[in-house]
Amino acid sequence: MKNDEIVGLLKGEFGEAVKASAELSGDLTVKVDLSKLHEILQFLRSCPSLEFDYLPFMTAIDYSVYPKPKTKEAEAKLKEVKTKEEKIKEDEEKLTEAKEEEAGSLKEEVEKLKEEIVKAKEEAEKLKEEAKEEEREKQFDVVYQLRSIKHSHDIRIKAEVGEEDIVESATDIWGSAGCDECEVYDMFGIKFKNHPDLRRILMPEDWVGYPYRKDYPLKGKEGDDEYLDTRLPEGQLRKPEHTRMP
Amino acid sequence: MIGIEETKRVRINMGPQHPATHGVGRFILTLNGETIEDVKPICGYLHRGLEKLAENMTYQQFMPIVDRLDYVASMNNDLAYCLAVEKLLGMEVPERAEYIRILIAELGRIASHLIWLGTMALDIGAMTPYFYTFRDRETIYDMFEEICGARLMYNYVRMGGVSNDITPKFMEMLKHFLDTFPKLMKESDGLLTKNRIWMSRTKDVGVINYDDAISWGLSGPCLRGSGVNWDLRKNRPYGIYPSLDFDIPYLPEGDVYARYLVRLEEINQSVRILRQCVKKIPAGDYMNPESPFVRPMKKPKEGIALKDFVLQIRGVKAPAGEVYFGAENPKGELGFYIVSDGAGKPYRMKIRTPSFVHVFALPVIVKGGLIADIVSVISSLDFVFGEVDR
Repeated sequence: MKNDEIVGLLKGEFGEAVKASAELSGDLTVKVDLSKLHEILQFLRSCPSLEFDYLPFMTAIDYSVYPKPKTKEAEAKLKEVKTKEEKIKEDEEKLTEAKEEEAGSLKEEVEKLKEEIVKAKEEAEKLKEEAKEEEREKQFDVVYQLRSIKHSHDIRIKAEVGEEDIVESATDIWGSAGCDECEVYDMFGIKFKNHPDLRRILMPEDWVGYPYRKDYPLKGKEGDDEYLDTRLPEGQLRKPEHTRMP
Repeated sequence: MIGIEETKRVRINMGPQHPATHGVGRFILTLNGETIEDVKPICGYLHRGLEKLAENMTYQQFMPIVDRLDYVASMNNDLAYCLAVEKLLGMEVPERAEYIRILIAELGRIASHLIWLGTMALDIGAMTPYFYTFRDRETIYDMFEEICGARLMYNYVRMGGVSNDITPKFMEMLKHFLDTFPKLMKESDGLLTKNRIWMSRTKDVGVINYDDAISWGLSGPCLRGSGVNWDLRKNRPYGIYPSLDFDIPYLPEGDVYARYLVRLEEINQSVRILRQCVKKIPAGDYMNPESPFVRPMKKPKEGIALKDFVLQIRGVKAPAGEVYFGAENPKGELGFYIVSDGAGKPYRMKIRTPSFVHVFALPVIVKGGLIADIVSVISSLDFVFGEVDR
């Protein structure tokens, strides 16, 4: 099935819950609403003409430090407007004191600046509207890469997830979702409900913090080693200080 | 008193230091008599946080680390990663480099399968094939040493081609290998395939059916051992695979013996691919000269030197976007999901490894089986813990 047909089918079934779709270097990516995520996944699995029976992987992405170039541009434009307004004020103050010969040229300058300000403001507003696409309400994205072995087509489903949200597990649809969801829980702290065995699988069970979040430094957080000491009597185990950056 | 019908459940710890787990894997088995009721895989002993490391490295810097995923098939890992980055950057590779890549990928596949065959036979109790397979693997590693100097961690495939051209001596060694290897392979084949003990240890053991194999995400030979005709070299073709003539073996039984036969046939098919490549390999560049990852060979002028320096520090900027590429590795589908924000480093990289999925599919396969069979099932799934824990 072609990509636009898949998107059409999804939009027909779920309407506004399907937020956006894009083709990124040949891969179809569809953004959906979190509340409808499980229903959509179930539909993708069971619909006879789609039948996504294989889940290569699922994962999460922490978007908290993702660059926002358009927002930055809009902010820069607004700053420009402010400096120009200040200059107009200065010029107007000069006008009251200036002689008639200079007053003419100053007036022209002020009018020019005013025109420029109007233009710059319009541009800034446009940029702000464009920048709205970059704004995110929630920190994470969960990603499900699906494949149909029967029909040989792929799709990627994404949904925005916040820190407090609980995602409904897809283990009842694909068995292989289980280990990946454990990893996401382990590394990002995103919780899943109806998961048969949600536990930390790569980090120790009493580890504090979620390593793949962007605020987690590469060499670990301070105080992370303290758990090593609590298990043993004092003095038995030295803190591995050499693993920390000063 | 405990009657015969109401036996006590016994928990047995297997690993992490156990020769049959092929690495530092740990399984907690719950037994009812000799029957396995549950398996809980525990991993993380080799966790190095490669995905986090990738976010803090340029695309080029991450290359040698990819070798450490599945350390018995490093060439294939390199290839999969390079193809993913090339897909993101939209780069082209010269034809000769494509052929060299397929040559070394198929050699890597044979080497990986040989290790699997030797260790599986050893686990089940046959010692002799181990020596035969490691002897043949040695010749492949000699060839790899000839082209890139390394025997285990190669870092040979690069973005835009390969790091250096293959030598005439390599081609000679390869031709000799292709002449002798099929005969040598018959030795271990003759020892095992029709062996009564081997068959009774592997036939109807660790069965996983067609639907479960797909649902539990098995890939590679394990998926094809359950009757699924799926191979990324055919179904999601990359490189020059579409122009080559080879078959995808698959068997419907879904037991250990089927997975064994599929891998043996894959070795034969790899030899077939290698023969075609040796005949067809064209002359030309081994590296795309316009690849941004290539540093200028001549002594540069000042401006170029600065540019080169900036490329080294900040990395080659990739367009913002995301890409997923899965390649058919000896163990299954190795995929790289790269999210780029337009900088020289990936914003996020997810590594989809076949072994990770296989380890967590193990409970489904061995449930209801005998404890004596778990070793043969583990070796038939062929996982490597460098890949499981990443």
